[in-house]
Amino acid sequence: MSEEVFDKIHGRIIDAETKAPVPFAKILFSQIDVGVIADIDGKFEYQGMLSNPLKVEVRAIGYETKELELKANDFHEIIIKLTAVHLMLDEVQVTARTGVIERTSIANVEVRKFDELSPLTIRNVTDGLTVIPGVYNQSLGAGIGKPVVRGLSGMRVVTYLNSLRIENQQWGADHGLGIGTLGVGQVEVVKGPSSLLYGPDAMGGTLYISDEPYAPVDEVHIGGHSLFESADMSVQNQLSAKYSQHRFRLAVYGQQNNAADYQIPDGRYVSNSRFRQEMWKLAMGVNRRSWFMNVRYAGLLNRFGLPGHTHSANPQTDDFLSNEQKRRRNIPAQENTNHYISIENNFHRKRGDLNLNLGYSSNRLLEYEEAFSFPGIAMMLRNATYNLRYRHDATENLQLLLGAQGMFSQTRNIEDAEEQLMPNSSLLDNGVYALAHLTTGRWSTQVGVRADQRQLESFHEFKGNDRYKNSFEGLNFSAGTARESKNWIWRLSVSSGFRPPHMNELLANGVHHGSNRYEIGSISLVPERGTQADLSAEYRNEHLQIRLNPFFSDFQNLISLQATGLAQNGLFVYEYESLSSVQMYGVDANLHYHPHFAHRLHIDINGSYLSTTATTTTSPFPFLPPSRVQSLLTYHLMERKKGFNIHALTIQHQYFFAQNLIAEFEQPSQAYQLFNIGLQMEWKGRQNMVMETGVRNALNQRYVDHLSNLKTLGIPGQGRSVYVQIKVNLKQKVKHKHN
Amino acid sequence: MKKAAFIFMGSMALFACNREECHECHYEDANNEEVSLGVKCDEELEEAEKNGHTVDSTTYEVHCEDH
Repeated sequence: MSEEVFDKIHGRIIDAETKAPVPFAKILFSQIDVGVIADIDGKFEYQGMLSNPLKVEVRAIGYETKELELKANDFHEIIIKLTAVHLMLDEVQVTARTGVIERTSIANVEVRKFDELSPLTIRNVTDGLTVIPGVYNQSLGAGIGKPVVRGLSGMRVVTYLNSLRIENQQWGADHGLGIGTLGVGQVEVVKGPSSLLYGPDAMGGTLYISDEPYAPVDEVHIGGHSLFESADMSVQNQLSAKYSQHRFRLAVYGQQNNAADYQIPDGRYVSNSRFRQEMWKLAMGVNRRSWFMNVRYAGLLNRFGLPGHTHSANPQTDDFLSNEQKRRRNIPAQENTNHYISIENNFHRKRGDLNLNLGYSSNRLLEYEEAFSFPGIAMMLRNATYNLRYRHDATENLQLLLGAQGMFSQTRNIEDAEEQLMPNSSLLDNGVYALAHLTTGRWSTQVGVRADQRQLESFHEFKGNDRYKNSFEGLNFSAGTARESKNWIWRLSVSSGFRPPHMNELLANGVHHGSNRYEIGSISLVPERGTQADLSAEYRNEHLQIRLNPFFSDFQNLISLQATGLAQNGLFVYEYESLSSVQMYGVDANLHYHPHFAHRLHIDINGSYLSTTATTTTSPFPFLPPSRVQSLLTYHLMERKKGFNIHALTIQHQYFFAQNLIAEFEQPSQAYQLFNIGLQMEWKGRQNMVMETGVRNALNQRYVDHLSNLKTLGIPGQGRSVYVQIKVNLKQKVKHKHN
Repeated sequence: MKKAAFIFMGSMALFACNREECHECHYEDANNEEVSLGVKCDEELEEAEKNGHTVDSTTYEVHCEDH
């Protein structure tokens, strides 16, 4: 039960034990997505429209993040005590989608601040996400990556950028995520079927990517960073400018990235693995009495070379390698031009919040195959989305969430393309959902239900198929319970998802050069349905955190490409087929240990294991991720308040087990291990500068990843690569007269 | 100052518009021998890729990608 008040909140942040001020703590008011930074004496102040009660998140390096709910009476001269921690990952995170604290969330959701995902420098979003157990990268060279969550990827992993569902024609094996690292503040990964809040298609999981917060009030931030990688001689440059007043906020970003062909361990280069990327972002926020709005725009321009392209019946790995590293435009290549616009409205009500989010996105996909001057495939995808949600605080313990969500999407072939893979078509989604979240003592319980309808229609006959028109209905649910005590968190949830077939799976008939195959659809395909049971047990104390997370998923009608054994246009022919029943099961595990006798040392180990119903050697479903163990050892070297710091030395060991559980047309892969080393340095002064350097694949190990689209051709991953990154963030207080 | 900025932006735009795309092209003759056609740019490149290269009333497909 909240109300809006124009008020001033001010106070101090202190260390709970020593009572010393905690300088430069970040105080975030999550309901209006704005925050302030405490000064060197731990003092802070903010004046403007505030909710009552007010949710406040306080973060400071070396301290446990604290979440508070303050009443208006507490706004003045408040003292917030932070507890020093040894276990840096033991943090409070709030999910952007539901506003529920991760620790009390029923769903198994991983919430991570993007810049804290890994102490090693992150090149792209998909690579960064692989530090999370159960999340892998299905790659095509160094540029294109698709997240794989619990063995499923592409259209089965729904991606949101802020409130906007991202559509990047994920039906293609070579079509990446469509989002860069620019301005990303937080990522959330929901593992397993989760249609309740995210709509149809979320069979493997959901990625929810949020922009970083605006600058603190009355501050201007100018940021810049440059990253160099030696293996592909790539340079990535980013610039950002942010400014906030108490009623108006603005942030602009730009990024440019250019990579040549990447080098493999024997010193040769993978031909045509080069890419370039440009991205820009604009975000603007305003808030008035009981309302705040964000308008966001993001643009992305990619050109990816498509390595491993061949029409040869008997290709050899050497055919795709070169002694010369090149950067200039070549073919085959894929070009994407994406525009994302979203308008987020939040209306505070006395007993809850009303959200109305509207979005529009366009994706122009051009695939140049045999010629520079005209594309082989050219398609335009346009999407309009709406999302209306009301959160109602029925009582102090019972929260209700009601919502309606939909999308209209239109795909058109652009006329001057050589060929068409599927007809011009449209898709209309409408869904309604209701969810109840009850907290009683240490227990939290959640139950929800959702109904969806998807209408698919093609606009013309296509390669022998009549016009297609069909409607699919889905009824999904989610139920679960969590219990939190001082050291233990238990979670048990059951959730379901559904995914109607995509137009490409229904009507495809042609060569898809990007994925190097001839694909044939089937109009007899029916919607996929999946149900997952997920158990999570977590123990944590001051020095140790252990989480075990077994799960079991049952899928019906999972759509899969199956080899026919035939060839057409020099490429193998694959048909889309429904697999009547597939079960997947496995376990994700984390261990974070900070020994009491070595305060500067942190050991983080996570493991992922996934299997599926299978005969002795064949899996019903292809590209099953291999088991993996990732170990991270971080040693904090210096913590000076001013001047030069060598912040941390990190050694990462990744072990990927051999994968012999493969589909009929697939190839097994061998086990491999990688060592990565990173060093973080910082200059702390009036303005801060961060320098990071390191070596990826330090032992120059030759490996072919099981999920690489180049696996069949035996093309290895990147050899040893040295990186250097410099980040500068200039901050300036701006004196502004508040009304 | 303003004038200089306009001239700079104008010349940048002109430079961006005038950027040529040139590639070395070839075709494979009846004996599967690679025959070079030299560097082709813009309209010439487009024409070669669209219409191929005709020798003695036989038209060969033209390729311009790097190897």
